[in-house]
Amino acid sequence: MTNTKLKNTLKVQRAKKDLTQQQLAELVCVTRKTINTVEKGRYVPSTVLALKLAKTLEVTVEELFILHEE
Amino acid sequence: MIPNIEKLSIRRRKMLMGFSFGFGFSLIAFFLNSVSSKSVGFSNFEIIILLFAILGWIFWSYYLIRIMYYNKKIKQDPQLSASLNDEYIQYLRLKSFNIAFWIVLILQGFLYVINMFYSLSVEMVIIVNIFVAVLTAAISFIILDREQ
Repeated sequence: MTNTKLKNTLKVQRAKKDLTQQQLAELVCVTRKTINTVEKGRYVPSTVLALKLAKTLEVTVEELFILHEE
Repeated sequence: MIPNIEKLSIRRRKMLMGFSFGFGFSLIAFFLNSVSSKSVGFSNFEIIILLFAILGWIFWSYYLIRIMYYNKKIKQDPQLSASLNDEYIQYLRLKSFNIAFWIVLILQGFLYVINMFYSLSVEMVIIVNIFVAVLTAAISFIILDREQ
């Protein structure tokens, strides 16, 4: 039985756009702590937030969030 | 310079901590009062308990008013309100209430067992339940909301 985990490239994509966590948080209308917990994989964002993040960072959701099967 | 949303988020956390401290303080005093023997007039111990209760009341009332004022001000700015009460905060609130629910439920079991050996007054049971329910939810949220 495979164990599925969600990984993300949020930190990398954010760095490419030269945005701080705070700046990204303001652009998608969440707190900096929310961005931090998503980046660390401690919180799985809703579809709406995932889409907002992808749109703001100008990438696809699939580039931002990856399903990793162990 | 810390941005506005970050400042407000930190302020909310501090107010909740202040409220929890004052609330717990005042209810401990009430609890001690309910278990102490009732006598005519006030003993020194009861006077001290009363002072602690009053201090606790003032403390948590002050923070409760501040929290209400804070919430009222934030509601005036829908975008700010949406950011400060984003999905992650809503998730933490639900998780905190979930934790508080289970702890209160387990507490009923303890109180039931204790009542078999020692007769518990209704007043004490109510105070303990309020104490545990409110503080568990508040403290759970404070712990879950900490920076990790």
